[in-house]
Order: sequence, then structure tokens, then C-alpha cells
Amino acid sequence: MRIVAEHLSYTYNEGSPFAVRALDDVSLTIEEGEFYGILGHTGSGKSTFVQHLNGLIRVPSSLKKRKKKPKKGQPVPPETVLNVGEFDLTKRDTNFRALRKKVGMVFQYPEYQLFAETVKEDVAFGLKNFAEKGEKPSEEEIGRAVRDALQIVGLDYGEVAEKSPFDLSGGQKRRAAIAGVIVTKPEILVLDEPAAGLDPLGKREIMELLHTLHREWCKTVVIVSHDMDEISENCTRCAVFAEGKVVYDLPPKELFQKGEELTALGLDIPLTAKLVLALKERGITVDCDFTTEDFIQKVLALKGGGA
Amino acid sequence: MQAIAFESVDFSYGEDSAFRIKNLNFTVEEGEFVAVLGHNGSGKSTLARLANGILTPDGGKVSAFGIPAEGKNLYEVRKKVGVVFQNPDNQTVASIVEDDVAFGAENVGTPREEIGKRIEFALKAVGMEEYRHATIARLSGGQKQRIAIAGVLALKPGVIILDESTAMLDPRGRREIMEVVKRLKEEEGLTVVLITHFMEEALMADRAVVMNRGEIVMQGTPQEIFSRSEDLITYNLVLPRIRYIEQRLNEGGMSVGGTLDTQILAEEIARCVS
Amino acid sequence: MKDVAFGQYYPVESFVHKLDPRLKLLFLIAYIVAIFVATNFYGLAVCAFVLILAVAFSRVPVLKVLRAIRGVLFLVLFTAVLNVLFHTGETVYWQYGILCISKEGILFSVFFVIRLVLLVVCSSLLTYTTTPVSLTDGIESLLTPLKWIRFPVHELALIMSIALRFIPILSDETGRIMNAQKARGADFETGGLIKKIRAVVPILIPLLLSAFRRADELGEAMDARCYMGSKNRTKYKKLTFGWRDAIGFLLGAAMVTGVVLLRVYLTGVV
Repeated sequence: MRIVAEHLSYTYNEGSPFAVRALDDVSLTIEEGEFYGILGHTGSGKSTFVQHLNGLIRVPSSLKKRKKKPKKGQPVPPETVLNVGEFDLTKRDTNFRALRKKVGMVFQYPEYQLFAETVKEDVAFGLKNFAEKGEKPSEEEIGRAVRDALQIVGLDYGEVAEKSPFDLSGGQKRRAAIAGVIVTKPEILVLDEPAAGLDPLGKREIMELLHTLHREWCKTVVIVSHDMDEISENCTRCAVFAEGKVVYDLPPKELFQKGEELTALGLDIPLTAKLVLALKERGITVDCDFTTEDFIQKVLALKGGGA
Repeated sequence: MQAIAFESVDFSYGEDSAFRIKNLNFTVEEGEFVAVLGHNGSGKSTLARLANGILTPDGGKVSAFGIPAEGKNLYEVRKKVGVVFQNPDNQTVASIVEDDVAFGAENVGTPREEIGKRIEFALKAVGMEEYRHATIARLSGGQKQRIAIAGVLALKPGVIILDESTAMLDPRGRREIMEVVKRLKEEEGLTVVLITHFMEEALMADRAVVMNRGEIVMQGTPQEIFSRSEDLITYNLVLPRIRYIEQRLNEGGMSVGGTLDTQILAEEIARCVS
Repeated sequence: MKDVAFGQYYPVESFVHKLDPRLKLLFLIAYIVAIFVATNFYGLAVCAFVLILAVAFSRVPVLKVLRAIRGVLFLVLFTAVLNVLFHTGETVYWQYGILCISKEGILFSVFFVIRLVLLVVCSSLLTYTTTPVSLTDGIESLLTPLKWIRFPVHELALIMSIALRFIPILSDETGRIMNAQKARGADFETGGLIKKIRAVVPILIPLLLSAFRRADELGEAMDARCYMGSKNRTKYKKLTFGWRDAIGFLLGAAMVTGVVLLRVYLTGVV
């Protein structure tokens, strides 16, 4: 499933004195199969954008019965496009339930959405909700799906399934919550700050988990993150949001060559990019893709050449 | 003078809790900046709560500036040892900035005029003077945490403990807090204990302490701590990225590093390759 | 939702906004007394005049003030109809069993409607012009005498102000949890009553847990800042009476006196 957005704008509290323009004419395409990163400050519009992808925030035209005709003489605004695979999110008759089944969304601190008596029940929640009417999944099917989901997030079914989700450790809770989203095998998985609040090892493990999911389970992974190192190490491509607009849409290798521009936007850059910049000032060019591994290899190669 | 002193402290959260602090000795000298590192559940936060008497040890003695943290003294200890917690939303009592900053000072019966002065001082120290009459709910995470720091400063503490106060902030908010901490130490001469799991933040400290399962397992300057990479990994920590790069370059036959500074590392790489 | 504007506060600067919240609270009480002391239209006219003056000086748009009535419109009309039908009088226009429409009944009903409208407008004017925080301060200050009978005035006020502080946070959080469960296919819109009640569980449990966690952490943070109840506590904010309050007080006093005099000397008009 490909994600295509064109001329997407969104204003919170439209028409009130507290109106805030969160998205301003955003156009962005995310290809199937990508591990896509979305960067930007708090309030840059990145969360608003991703909540559009499964219809939690609706394009205004999809909520109205009749389209407003532009008044004569006024310029016709460019038409908003928002397609996720075969779903047209600007249309009122789109099946948003079917869409949500295909686009999984993991919010920040997802462990705070756990509610059921057992981990098994909690993970099965989405599965039961998304089941078509009249086709209730059997206990056996549910059991199998929950087992698979727990297994892929690295939890032991036998150990945790009958436990209360509130008795798990912090890291386990987050894994269980992610299992509750991916249990329906969505094609696109969107995660808002998946590693927030975890300790360094926990962070690393979550990123490894996302790669596993990307390989085996969900075709496209989209992460929203503040952590530049996380983006440069993991993503195939990323967009930078600032004040409701997309300012860059590039692979990390090209994006982080713009170290100065990113710093001017008040954003951090990965450590590797800082080192590349510092070396550039000293007349040394390191042509790396900004992953730590590649940086180290390229620097060592330089030395080999120099010796 | 020792700002914080733990003498063979024992503590547990009850009989059946697996976590236990046993015979812990730990001191922070006045004016020192100490970073406490450790994975989640290593006992870092318990340390903060013991230090200002929110938790009471089962055995041993905790004191602040020579005052033992027990009985009637608790109040005095809490005045001396300020704690800023993790969640910016869960530590402010009032809706308006100045009302919240005043809260602590009101609790200890500070005269009215003096409270006014302290609000001014505290907001200035965290760079939030202009927000005195602002609504807290409308501030950013970093600003809310700065208000929380101001609320602690209004009590005129001798030491301030930041218990993972940057964990829930974005990079901008984190930078704001680290700048405030640095200024407090340099200009106000405040003793700082920074509990964190961002390894990079520990680089600013005079001394770093690593905790694991309720024990202090490593101590030294941040440079010393981060040069012992194998030990760090045993305690479920990871190296700061810069240290990792230095180490790998050294293994590849370069001789760089130890300073954990981007510019110096670049300089050294430049020297090695040319 | 992150705004003080939750509730009804209308953020402009005006004479009425600047009045001491205690005075405004007392004024509201006096106003309620006056409305019920007034037994004739002259008395009500005085009350209405004072209220119109107050609205004019509050700079809250008249439309916004009138909107406050909309919420109680049904109640007002319902009681008005009952009053007309069940009030007997001398000049009867229509009668059926115990139901009758009389001149007195209509007048009484109109009188009643005006009373109710004035009451609603006056109390909403208070919330339009006073922030929840200063209302709490005002209530605490007015209740201070109750400390003599060991009533926990300070604690009550603190609870109120913390509640005010956390309402926007918890309301944001509710939105977040709802979205998270919607993303997992939860459906809050369709289905019968039982299904809807069941659908609330996945929101309510995380919300309650979060509220408890927040309460816990807040308690710790308050402890850490030396909170020990009201003992030896000082207060930074002092409410002060200014010239505006003097004017407000005189106006209120004049109104009550006027209404009482009108009642004594002009009885029997209604």
C-alpha cells in the first residue's frame, strides 16, 4: 500500500479564536516497503499528519454530505488528495474500519492503553473488533493469532498470556501494547515515538523489534521520532516537518548532508553528521550514509589510504 | 560539608519485592555535580526518594548537610534537598506559573514579601521571568519542567536532584533543562544530582555513578566510566555513541579519543588520516 | 482544550473582571436574595436594571450572555406552562377540570420566568468574568470563618484548585486513549445502550489508572516541596478590596435596599 498525500491542510478549532493551523498544504508520498521516518519539533504537524493515515483525523471533505462549491470569481483551491493504498480518504463513503485494520497505529507510551484482565484478552481486542459481522473468529483462531503476535514482539505466550498486563515490567508492557496493534497484521505500521521513555538498552531492543516486524510482518513502517540517531541508523527515507509544512523529503544519506540547514531549523543532527561536518571544516571529506557502522568503515578506509 | 550522605542504608519495598538496597554508602559533596546512571529498575529513583525523606530506610542513616532525615527533621531535610521528577504534568499544583512556584515557599511559612522575591529569583534562574502570569497548561514540556525546577528553587535548597527530569522531553526541552542545570551549578553554586539514562547528559558531570540492582557498581569521572565499556554492558547500559565510535576506530588501528568531545575527536581523526 | 477557557471564562479586561471574586460571589448571593425578596414587578425591574448595568460593564457580548439561557430554556418554559395551568386567579379565560388559564396565572408565570432568567444570567456572568482559579480563591477566603469549627477550608480549596489544574490534562488524555482504542477498531458510535456502555471500558480503565498514577506522583511532588497541610502555611496571593469593589458593594447594597423598600411600600401589585 502506497501513501499519497497532496495539498493536505488541517486546522484545529477551525473558525474559533483558538484556531491553529497544524498542516499547511502538505504533499508527501510514502512508497510501499519503506522504513520511513518523520522528524520535526513538537507542534510541527507530524502527529497530525500520521493521524490522518488511518482516519483518526478526517479530511474535512470526507465528513460533509455535499461538497461546497467555490464562489464565483474566487480562485479554486488545489484539490486535496489522500490515498492509502486503494482507500480514498477524502471520500465520505470510504470504509474507515477496513482502513484501520490495514494501517496499525501505535501511539506514544502505548502501554497506557492496556485495559483488559489478561494480556491475551488485551491483544485480542483489536482482532475481535475488526472481525466482520457474522464471522466471529473462533477461540482457536484468536489463540493462534495472539500467540503469533506475542511471539514476534518477543514475549513468551505461555508465560504472559494469562497474566494481568499491569503485572508486566515496563518494557514488556510496551511490547504487549504493540502486539495488540499488530495482531491484525496491518500492512502499514505507524508508530509515534516508539522508544520514548525507555532506557538505552530498551530503546535498542524496540528498534530491533521494528526491523523484525518490517521484515516479516508489516510491509511499510512509519516512525515519528525526535531522535536523529534513531532516524539515521534505521530509516530508508525521511520527511522533516516544520510549522505544518514538509521542508525535506529525502533519504538520510542526502538529508544529513544538509547539517547546517537542519541546525538552522533548530533540529539536532546525528552524531555522525556532526563529525562529518567537523571533519569537513578540517578539509577531510567522509562520504558515508550517516550510519555509525558506515562512518567508522569510511574513516578507517581513509586512514588506510593515507598510510 | 556533605550535601547528601548515605551510611550503610538498607531498603526494600516490602517482603516480596525482588528489588533491595543493601548496605549502600553514597555521598555527594557540597558544590559537586554527580550523574547517576543505570537501567530502568536499577534503583536510581529510589536513591532520590531516600535522599529527601519521601522514603525511609529500613536500616542505616541518610542525612543532608549533617541533618539526619528522620522524625521532626524531615521537614528541614526536604527544604535542603529539592527533587524534580519525571513527568512535567504531574508535579505542578496550581494553574498559574507564579502560584505554583510559590507553593513550596508557602508551605514552609515564608513571609509574603519574601515569597514574591523568591518567585522572581527562581523564575530568573530558569529563564522564565516573562511567564510569571502564564497558564502552565499552555507551556511546552521543557518550560513546564523549568517551572518545576523554579518551584524547587523557591525553597532555597542546597542540593537539587533531577530524577529523570528530561526523560519525557523532546531534544529541545532536554537542551533547555541541561542549560538551566549548568547555569545553576556555575552561577548559583548549587549541588546537582542528575539521574538519567541519557548517557550524553552525564558527560557534563564531575563524577558519574552507575547503579545496578540497588548497588553502586561503578564510580569515577564520566571519561573513566565510559572507558570501561565491557562493564557498562554487563550492567545493561550502552556506550554513548561517541565513545563507541572512538573505541571502534581505536580497534581499527587509530589512536583517538577518551575526551568524548566531537570537535576534539574530529581533530584527532584529521591528525591520524593526514 | 489546553486553555483557561474551559468552563466559560471570557477573557477580556473589564470593570467586572477586575472585581474581587469574593465581592462577586457575595453579590451573586445578594442578588439571589433580592430576586426572591422582590414580590412585584418594580422590584424585579430594579434587579434587571442592575444586571443590565453589570453586563454592560463586563464587556461580555450580550449574545454570549443570552446563550447561557439557552441551556435552561426547556426548564424555564416547562415550569412556565405548569405555572399558567395550575395557578388559579379571579379573571379566568379558560378552564378544564383543575387546569385553568387566568390573568393572575399568566402574570405569575411571566414573573417566574423573569426571576429564573435573571438568576441564570447573573450566575453565568460570574463565571464569564472570573477565572476558575480566582473563584476558588474567593470561595476559600469566604469560607475562612468555618476554620473555627475545624472545617478543612484550606484542603477543600486545594482540592478544588488541583482538580481545575488536572481537568484539561485528563480531558486531553481521554482523547488520546479514545484514539488509541479507535485505532484498534473500537467503535463508540454504533450499537445499543449496553454495547455503548461496554465500549467505554477500554477508555475508562486506562483513564482511571492514569488518574491514580498522576495522583500518586503529585502527592510525592507535594511532599518533596514540604507540603504539610495548612499548619504554619503562608499565602502569597492576597485578595484586596479596591475602589471598584467599593462601587460594586454600594450598588449591591442599594439594590437590596431598593427591592426591600419596594416590597414594603408597593405590596399587592402582583
